[in-house]
Amino acid sequence: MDSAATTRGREGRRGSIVRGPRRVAAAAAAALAVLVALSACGSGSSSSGGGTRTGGTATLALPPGTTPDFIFPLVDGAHYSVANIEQFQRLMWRPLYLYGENGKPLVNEPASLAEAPMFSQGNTQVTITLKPYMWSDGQPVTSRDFTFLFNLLQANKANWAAYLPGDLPDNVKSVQVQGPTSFTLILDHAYSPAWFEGNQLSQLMPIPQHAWDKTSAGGAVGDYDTTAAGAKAVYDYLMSEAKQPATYATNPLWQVVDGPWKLSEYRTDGYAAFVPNKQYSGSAKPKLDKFVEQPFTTEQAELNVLRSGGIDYGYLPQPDVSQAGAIESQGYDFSPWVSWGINYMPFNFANPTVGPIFKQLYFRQAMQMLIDQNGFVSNLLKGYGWPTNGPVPIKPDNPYVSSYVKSQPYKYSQSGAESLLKAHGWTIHPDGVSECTGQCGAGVPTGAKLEFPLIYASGDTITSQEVQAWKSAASRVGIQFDLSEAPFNQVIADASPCTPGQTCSWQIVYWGGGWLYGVNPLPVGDQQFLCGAGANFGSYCDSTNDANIHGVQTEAGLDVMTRFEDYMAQQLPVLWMPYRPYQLSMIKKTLKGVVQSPILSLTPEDWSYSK
Amino acid sequence: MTGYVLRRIVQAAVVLLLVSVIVFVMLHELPGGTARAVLGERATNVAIEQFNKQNGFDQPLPVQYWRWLDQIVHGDLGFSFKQNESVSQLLADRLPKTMLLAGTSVLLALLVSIPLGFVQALRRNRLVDYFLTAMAFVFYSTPAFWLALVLITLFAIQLRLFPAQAPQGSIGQIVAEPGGMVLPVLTIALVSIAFFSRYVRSSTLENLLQDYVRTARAKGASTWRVAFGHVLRNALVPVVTLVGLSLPFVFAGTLISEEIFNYPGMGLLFYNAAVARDYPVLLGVTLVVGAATVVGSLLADICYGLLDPRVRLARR
Repeated sequence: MDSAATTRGREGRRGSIVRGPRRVAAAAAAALAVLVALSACGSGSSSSGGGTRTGGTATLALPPGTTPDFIFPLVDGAHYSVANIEQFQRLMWRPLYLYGENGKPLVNEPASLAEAPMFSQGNTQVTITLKPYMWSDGQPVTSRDFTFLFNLLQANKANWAAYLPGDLPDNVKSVQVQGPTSFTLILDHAYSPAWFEGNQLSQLMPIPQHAWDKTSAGGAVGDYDTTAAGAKAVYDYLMSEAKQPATYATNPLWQVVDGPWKLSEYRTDGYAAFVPNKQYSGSAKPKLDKFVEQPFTTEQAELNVLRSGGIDYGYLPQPDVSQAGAIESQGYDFSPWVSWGINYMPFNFANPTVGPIFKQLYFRQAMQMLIDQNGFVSNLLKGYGWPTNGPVPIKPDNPYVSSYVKSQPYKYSQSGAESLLKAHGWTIHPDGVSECTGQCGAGVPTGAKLEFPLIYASGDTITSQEVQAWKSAASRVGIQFDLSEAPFNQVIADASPCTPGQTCSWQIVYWGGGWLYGVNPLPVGDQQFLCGAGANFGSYCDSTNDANIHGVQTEAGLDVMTRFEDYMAQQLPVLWMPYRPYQLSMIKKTLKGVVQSPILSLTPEDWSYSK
Repeated sequence: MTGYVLRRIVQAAVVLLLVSVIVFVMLHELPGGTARAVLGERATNVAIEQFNKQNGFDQPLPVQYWRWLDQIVHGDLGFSFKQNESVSQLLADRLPKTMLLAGTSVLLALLVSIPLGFVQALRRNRLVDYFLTAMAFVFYSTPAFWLALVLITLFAIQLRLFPAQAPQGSIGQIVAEPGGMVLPVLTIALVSIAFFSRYVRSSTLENLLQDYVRTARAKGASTWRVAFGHVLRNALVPVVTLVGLSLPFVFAGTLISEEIFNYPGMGLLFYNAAVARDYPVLLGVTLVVGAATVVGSLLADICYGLLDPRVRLARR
């Protein structure tokens, strides 16, 4: 291993011949020794004892490939990510309503920019009053900052990643300014207050009109946004500035913030350092001197640094969970970060060959009954996970999930799956390929076989183990999967919803990550399960379900949510798979005040070090 | 010599053009769509259509290639969809880091392996030769990622001599923290030392059997003069070629170091772009690495000619 060292002490018997090379070797060894002598020192401070102190730097490890790289809050499609929105922009620009309250997927009222919305006129109007916040340059946050944002959205909605036809800004007929900090949105029809606040208003964050309403760097600030052409020009200018990440920390535009933090350093590899916004008007002022987001190339690289104590808030890769105890003994607390999401595996209902099989409810039920979710959780996830039973997550505790969904309607049962298939005309060939020999359902021909290609995302051990285990269980009732791996991006690219004229060859895919209800915290499923929705990969379409989703969006109360989720849990538009924590966090014991939001937003203004 | 160099430069340009065509076609033949890969699972059909239109992915492949080539000629390598940065800026940021890592590693490897291989040849079939040969085989057969983990466990976690990650930031910040580069450099260098020293040993042995060595000895030249005045220079000729041709392998080797030591260089840039189907970055990196390989090969040939006059004479 230390070959340089082995060359140093060796004496040649014929000195004249080896002296020259030895000098060269000695020079190399000396160079190495100089390199060795200049080793870097570790950093960080901590102390134990009661109470907390102000000051210090907290460094958060970012997961590989999830670095912040887009600063302008009107995010485009390519940069619509948790890393950009929840863990970067939200630190600087607060939305009207920030979700994630004490580990629950509910609104965090103290951290939100506005008072609770007031719905009126049969929920066709909503009045919002901003809290008395200031921008970091001393200007007040006003209704004009909201109308500025809204005008940019209206003129550029197609470029806004969160845009869904019919939703914001389409569903707002007009904005009536009531006063400097109060305005009313006139809606196109009645909406559920919970849905409108959770999935619409939570996406809106006022932006500084007095600093950003211009069309060039040297141009004067004006009211350009009040015309569609002007709003496009302003948007184009801000986007062009956002496409220069090397300037993020120095561009004066991005220094005007109303959130608790200002960006002080940014590198194009995703490293971001923040310092407190001294003008921050919220109740929880930052106590740290600095908050740093540290990118990592791989989980292994992060684990190496974690083991050496070089990070304050890191994570354990799931396969390395057995090392939790060893790392805890080095001064860390182990804390799985429960996120607000579900995991599933879509069928391609539009596949001309096997689509008719997938459309049979009994078949989907049999497939679900072959997935041992509880076994996967205990064996593969070592207990750090929980089943998905429907579109509403069962964790963290929340008011939305129904007792039916919690009850896990389709428990693991090979015999149950076999009975279902037999009862519907299939002849079972255990460890072979089962065949349709009777009436198997509309469009399923006699002689059809239960064998399907399954593409799953590579690079994740757990995902691979899950599909292998499922393949094994399914084989016992004669369902065969031809497994193949592909990178995550290729899996989701392959699994695009089928459009007319397109060859639609995929049958079942599994990307392993499921769906995070981050920026849309009310789990309504309109993006995944509504007919024709962009992320409805399998082209599932059910008019009852569409009506249920519409009900959740427009009717107040939890009954409609229960109706929607129970129907989805029963109908199995996808195969539900176990969900796991966002990460298995390791947090330094001296770092206090960390509450892990299920929405994945960060509030380091609540953090401080113990004395 | 000038004509020879010019001919090689023209050949290099043609090779690069062919490489770009092959890579461009291969990348665009990958199954699945770029838009979905870039925009993610939440993208709407409208967004996908708009993305394809904005980036010209709705155009025929030759049109896309011609447009890309036109950009290249005008010095524009394109814009990364995923990383929100111009490809030129990404390369300007990452290339120096990889060059520093690869260059330092190769330099260290040469400084150690040349004397090692030379000593082994001069003392062939002796204890020192057996020992160094065994060590060379051990390191040559050791997977780089495993070696890296062993180095981290030993020097970063147990002994706490060096950080577990490479220095972060600009090239200036990295150079200012040389201690952080020790383990990444060692990971690549240890494997390369084993590789290069074997070549030096065999090349030296081959030269020791040449007539000119016997002639020099017969004329009364000292062992020192024979070894360093004649054998060493001739033994290094194939090593020069080897170093030039090993550039792609060194680049590949840096990927391991970049991954494990959290050092975002060219290797990772390419890997992540491939996973994300970030075509502009893929093409930019391919072009640069292809150019580096061609230039490395060209420089090796020129050095070869300088070191060995027979090469120049043969080409006239």
